[in-house]
Amino acid sequence: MEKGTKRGREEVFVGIDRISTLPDDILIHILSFLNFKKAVQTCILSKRWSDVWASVHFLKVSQQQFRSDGNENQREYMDKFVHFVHGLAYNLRVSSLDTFECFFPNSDRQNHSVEFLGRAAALMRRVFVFYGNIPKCLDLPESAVSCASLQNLKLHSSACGKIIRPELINLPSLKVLELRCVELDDDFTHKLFLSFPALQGLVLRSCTLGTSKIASNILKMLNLDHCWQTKNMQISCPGLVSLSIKIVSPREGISLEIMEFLATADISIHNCSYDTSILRGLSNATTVKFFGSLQSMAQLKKDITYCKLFNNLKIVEFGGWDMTINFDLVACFLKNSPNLQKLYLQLGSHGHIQGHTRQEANRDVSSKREYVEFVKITGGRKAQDNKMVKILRRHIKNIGHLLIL
Amino acid sequence: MARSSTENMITLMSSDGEEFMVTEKVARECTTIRNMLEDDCVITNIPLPNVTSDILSMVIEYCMEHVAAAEKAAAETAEKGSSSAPAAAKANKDLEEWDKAFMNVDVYTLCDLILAANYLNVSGLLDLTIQTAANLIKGKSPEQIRKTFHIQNDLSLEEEEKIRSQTPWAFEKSE
Repeated sequence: MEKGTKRGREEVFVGIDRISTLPDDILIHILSFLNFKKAVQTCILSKRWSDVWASVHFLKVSQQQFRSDGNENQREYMDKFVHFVHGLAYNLRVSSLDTFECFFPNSDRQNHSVEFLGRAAALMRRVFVFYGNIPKCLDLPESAVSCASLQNLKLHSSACGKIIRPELINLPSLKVLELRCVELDDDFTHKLFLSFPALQGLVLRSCTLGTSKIASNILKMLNLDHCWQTKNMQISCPGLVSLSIKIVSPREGISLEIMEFLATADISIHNCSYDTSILRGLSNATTVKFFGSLQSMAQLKKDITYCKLFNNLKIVEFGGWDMTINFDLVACFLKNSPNLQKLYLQLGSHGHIQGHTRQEANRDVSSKREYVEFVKITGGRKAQDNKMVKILRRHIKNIGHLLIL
Repeated sequence: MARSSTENMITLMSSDGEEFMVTEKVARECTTIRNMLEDDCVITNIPLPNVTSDILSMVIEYCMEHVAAAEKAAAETAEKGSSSAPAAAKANKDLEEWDKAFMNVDVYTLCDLILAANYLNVSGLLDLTIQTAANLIKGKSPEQIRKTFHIQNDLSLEEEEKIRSQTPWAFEKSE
């Protein structure tokens, strides 16, 4: 194989303008990696460049770009920004744009950013907005919440705020909605699903969930990432294909309805109430990841008792607690997953929790499983690993390949 | 580079007639070539009239490095069941460092690489080269950009003024 890379070409090609000979779509691709203002400024490079920028389809702006130095007051650069936005609305070849990404730093002139969001939403198919802070609440403008073409909306803020219930949400084409640091109540979630007839993906990050139900017949992807729960919540989305739940110390219960098409489930619940009912919702999944604590295992007792078969399950991963102290959940999956191939156990430390003095190793095993192809144990101390293997051998007659790391 | 003798070899021919023998796996990193191979599986000699030998050798170098990294990761996964997170992170970082060093080229070569990556459809290399070109534009004044890429300003003062006046919001003093 020829190894020589002939990089000593500088002398030959020095001074030759190669970039301007690249085709439009490549130049547009390059410009789309720049903030929009910078991309527009390339129009005065030469004749070749004078209107390349106008065909970009991805727009990325930040108010920070309008700040000249530290001394300038906020009002002034905010004005520049608003001026820029007005210019944008009249100069763009709107038809070519489909994505808009904007960062608003902390601002006392929130109404401008909201107005801008409304304008942007009316023009683009995908809008991503990052707020430095939402002071008290973000009053979404009507144009942002009643826009026929918007497909993908992402609203991020760095501090928790409320989205004021817009009276008329109408986003008929919206497919994916992502909210970060937003407080949701029943009224909002109810309207959400009524007004987004095409919504397939919902991502809530660091949100406060004051809602008793998330219910949609067409939702395919639901991701609750590091959310707080303030109410008992029921998830009733029979069409889900992918589910991810990471609840930060939920004091309240959570229950899942059966999801026929579920493929992957990633559940992480560390403290939960006795009302929790999760397992039956996962009965069709092919891959399940379950992270919890000893405390949540104790609360899952009722759930485990009434557990159904996991007919499609091939890969299951458990982590976060010491399974040598409480093996109930793992045993339940081993017993009820006839097609299980791979089992991953990530052992957590048991700490000093009272009432967990039981030893799994000495308990009776009611039904022993024939075979599991692959088992991996990680994170344990040596004694813990040995104990774990002993317990596994009591539950599984034959393990194809056992790996302890 | 270690390879089994049974592995299929493909000959790629550059526009200036130089031949490069590569494994099918490396060649398949180029989606364009992968599609050709899938259409006609007995093909062993592929002429690439749009790519010169010096650029083709760099594209192959990139593909070989990335195939080797992927093979190494796969081997580790097979050995241990799943690759450990720190090892995977380190491997990623090493590959990033390699990419970074690989991008230490003059702007003319960079543009040729973009074209080749686009034509051969090597998505990783296309992203890398496009990002590198964008980084060369970032934080520069128009005059500095012209200098970096040797762009001749063929606009008259009047023409430039006219273009600026169409998008005054983009040229307000800032940054």
